[in-house]
Amino acid sequence: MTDDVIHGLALLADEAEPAPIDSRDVIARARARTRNRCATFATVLATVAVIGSLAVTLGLSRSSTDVATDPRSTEDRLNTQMRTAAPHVIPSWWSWTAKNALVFHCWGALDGVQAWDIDEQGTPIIHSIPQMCRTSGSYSDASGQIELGIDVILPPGSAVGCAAPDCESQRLPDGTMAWVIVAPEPAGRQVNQRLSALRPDGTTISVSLLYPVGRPMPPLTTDEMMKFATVFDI
Amino acid sequence: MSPRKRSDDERFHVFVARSTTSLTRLAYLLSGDQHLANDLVQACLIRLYQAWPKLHDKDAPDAYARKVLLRCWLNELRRPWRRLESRDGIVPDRAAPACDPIGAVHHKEVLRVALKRLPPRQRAAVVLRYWSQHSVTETATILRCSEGTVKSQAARGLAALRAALDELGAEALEELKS
Repeated sequence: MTDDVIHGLALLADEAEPAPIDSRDVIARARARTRNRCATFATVLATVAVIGSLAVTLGLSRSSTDVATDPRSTEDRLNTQMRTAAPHVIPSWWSWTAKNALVFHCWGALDGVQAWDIDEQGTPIIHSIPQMCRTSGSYSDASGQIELGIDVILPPGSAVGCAAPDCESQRLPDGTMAWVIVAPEPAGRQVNQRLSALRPDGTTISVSLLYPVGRPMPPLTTDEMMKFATVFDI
Repeated sequence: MSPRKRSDDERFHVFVARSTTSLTRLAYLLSGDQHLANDLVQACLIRLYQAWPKLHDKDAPDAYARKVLLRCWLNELRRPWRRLESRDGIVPDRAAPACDPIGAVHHKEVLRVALKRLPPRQRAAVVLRYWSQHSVTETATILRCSEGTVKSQAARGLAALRAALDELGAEALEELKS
């Protein structure tokens, strides 16, 4: 039954004229194709590796930046540093008042939020607002009330310094520059004992102790104030 | 080059010399195009050489070569530019013989057209079963399908070819009558 088809296929197949094929040429082409495939595979692999490493690097840097720029994480870090340092920087004879908490609150971003403003000539000005953190507490000792305020400005912070003649400055062993000054407040009812410090990482620390005029001695000595200079960092 | 590789290459040279004709015929039956058949054979041999070191039974690579050839042809059919191209006529390479007492040329032409009208896998099943004389099992292995599929594909293909040939016979009979 299928003989006619088989015969017809055989006749048809006989029409085919095999082209002369050089097996050496075939081998050369096959090797070239294998080489190309290997090269393509290696290129793809290298590209994937480069992209992967870039992604990992960017991801890591972004995640670390996110942690660093998140005000909440900065608050947590500063509060931890404050709790650790409190027994050393706050005298034990100071008594706490009800509103004392010494819990930091931060705002702004660590890498500087840019804010636009217009000057008098109508020219736009770009301000870089650093991340700022603040805490305060009320204490009292035998000589009276003491208001403690701490400001921490994370880099890029503003330049600090002290030009007053009675300013006591010190360069601490870790490279921190610190200045302490005692000056009356403009209203004349309080005195401000103030520490300004610039850490090597750019963090600016400002500690102020406000106490009533007439107190015989400042609440802390200069050395005791200097202890605040190395409490906080990024 | 290592002795083993040299020996492999020698075997490949022998295989190419021995199998080019049969592979070209198979490719021609599948594709219906002489030039495409030659291209397919070349592509098949290149692929075969890439797999040559992995061929365990190096004494009988013919079945594997047919399988590779079939894959090459099916891949070729799937190429986008292949779909865009259409041949609207067959240019004869050779003149028909002056004397054709049994109508062989016409017979082949009808078979060629009928074969070309078959779907690719049906065509492959018919060619492998009735020209290459492969068993159903071997054909199923080459086509990567079940034996039942081979049987149904081959039966349908065969029916279509036979219908075309019967039509040819009826036409010839009509001519004789007139």
